[in-house]
Amino acid sequence: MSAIDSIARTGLKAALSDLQTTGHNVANAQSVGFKQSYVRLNDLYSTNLAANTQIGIGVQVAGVEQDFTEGASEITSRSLDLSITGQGFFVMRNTTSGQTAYTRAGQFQLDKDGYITQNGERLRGYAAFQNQITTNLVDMQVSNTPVPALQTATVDLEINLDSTATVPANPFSATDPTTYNHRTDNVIYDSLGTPSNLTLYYIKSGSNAWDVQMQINGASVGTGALTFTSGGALNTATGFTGISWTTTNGSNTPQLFDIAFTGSTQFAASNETRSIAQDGYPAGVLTSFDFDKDGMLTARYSNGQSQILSQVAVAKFPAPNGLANIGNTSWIETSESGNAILNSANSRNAINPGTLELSNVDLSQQLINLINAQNYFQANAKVVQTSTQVNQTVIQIQ
Amino acid sequence: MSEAALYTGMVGAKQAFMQMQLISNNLANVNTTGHRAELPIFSSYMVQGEGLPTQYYSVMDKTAADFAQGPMINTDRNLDVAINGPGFIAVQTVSGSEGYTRNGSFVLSSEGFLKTDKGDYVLGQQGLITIPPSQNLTIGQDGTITVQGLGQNERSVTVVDRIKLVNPPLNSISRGTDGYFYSINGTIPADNKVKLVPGNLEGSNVNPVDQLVDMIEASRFFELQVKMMKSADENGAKATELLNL
Repeated sequence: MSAIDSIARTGLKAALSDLQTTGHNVANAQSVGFKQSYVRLNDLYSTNLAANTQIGIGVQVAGVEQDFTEGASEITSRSLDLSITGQGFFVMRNTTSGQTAYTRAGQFQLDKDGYITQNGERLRGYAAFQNQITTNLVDMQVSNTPVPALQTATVDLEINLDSTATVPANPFSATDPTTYNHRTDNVIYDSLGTPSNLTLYYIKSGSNAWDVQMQINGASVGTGALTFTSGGALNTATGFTGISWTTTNGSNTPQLFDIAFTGSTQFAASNETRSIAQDGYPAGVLTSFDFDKDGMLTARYSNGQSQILSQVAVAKFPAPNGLANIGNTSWIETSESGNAILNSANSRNAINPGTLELSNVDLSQQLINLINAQNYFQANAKVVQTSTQVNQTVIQIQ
Repeated sequence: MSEAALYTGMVGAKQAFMQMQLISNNLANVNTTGHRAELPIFSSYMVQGEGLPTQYYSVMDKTAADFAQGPMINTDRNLDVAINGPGFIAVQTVSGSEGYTRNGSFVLSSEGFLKTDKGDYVLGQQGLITIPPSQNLTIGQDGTITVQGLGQNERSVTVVDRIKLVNPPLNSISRGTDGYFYSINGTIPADNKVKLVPGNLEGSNVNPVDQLVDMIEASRFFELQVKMMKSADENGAKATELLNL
């Protein structure tokens, strides 16, 4: 008699596991990065019976499998919300226990030290050195350290000087515009980041030949000469390398810099300045940071400079199904999942900044599961009831 | 005479009981992926002995599997396949023998082997299937497994292997104790005509309504047999009373 009971009991147990799993899925239908699970059932056969009348002995829960399909993404536009496209996990480190966990949820926060955290665990990434990503795995941090000033070393000028201009009659004087033909003004920086005005005066000295008077903040720092070919292209530029400027504010002195006239021309067209650039900048404080689609964390500073700080690490597994769930929608690696595969290539095109991966629970499917599991339970309960009736009939034989 | 009737009734009750056991197993596996319902096969045997051949035993001497197509359950999981129409997926079980199943819910092991959810190896054209470290694994309708290498773009896909699919005559296989089917005479060659439906699983083909109705019938049948046993017992008692005279 008990055979029927015990078969039905395996069915009841399986139905309960199914209900539990479905309940858990439904409860997490709104959890960011959650992966739904499902019950795997296997039939059971005993070896005791004669080969040709083999009746099964029920069902067993072979395991609760996790479904790692990608959830839908939600656009939040929050700079610290990230989601991963395709396979892969964020790498998180618990600072107290040192344990490494993996998650698909990407709702990050900044802690007081600038570390990027989630549930108190720090996001791991590859450190950058001079804007190049290294293989060094570190806790990702947005540090508040300002960018130091950089003194100007090169000024790039691209100008056109009017070939039809006449040689000025009077000797050069900065205050008299008739003593020069053209001027350019731009700002250069010393090692403390102090801006100074660099003014260049162009004086025609003969056909295809020009003198250049250089002044910083109204004081002369030297002269140079430009010659052009008959085709109007720059021929020679002398006196523009190692220009020495004595500063008085405590910065590096003398400050040496070069001026390059690459691309400058002398045509029968009006004097014009096509572009001015220089490589110095003042000190800057952190104004913002952002992630790009490769997971690069870039800090932006008030002086217009930017710097790559690190890159979000993405871990992949030979068998993600083998990962052990430790709660907080995160997993740890096991012998069944294999070791994490970590390399910078995993992050390429894999990160969606400003989006979150929603739970991959399909509510309609879960509700159908719920109905199924309930029917499953009832059918097996009916078997128990019938078995009881049979038992009573047997007892009443006498 | 009366004793023979008592035993005929007992055998009938025993068969009814075994059928109920079978039905409860079917009902317990109503949600088991790829499960094939069991069917009881009854035969009648004449009771040998003195007198006229008026009694027949009913014996459930065989069980068979019902190979009707189960329902398709859409899962959208890349490692789930269902077989559309006849056919089986070949697996290598723990014991090393080649088994056949309709359950196409696969997992990847950490060593890169494609396994069934029971942990047995799925067979390809040349033995076990090994998946290299990759992404975007897909299984085609004919069982071909393709992957996209790590860091490769979507167009550079490689064919890894092709799942061994077989379509043996249904009377040449029998169910083993692990729920897989085994060939009675030798390994079955691959059949290219078996078609898979990727992203789906085939549910159990047990029909719970039929099974519950059968269960009621079996329990009525059981009660009937018990009644027969009672009558035979009473007849025997009356006969004994006659002899007492």
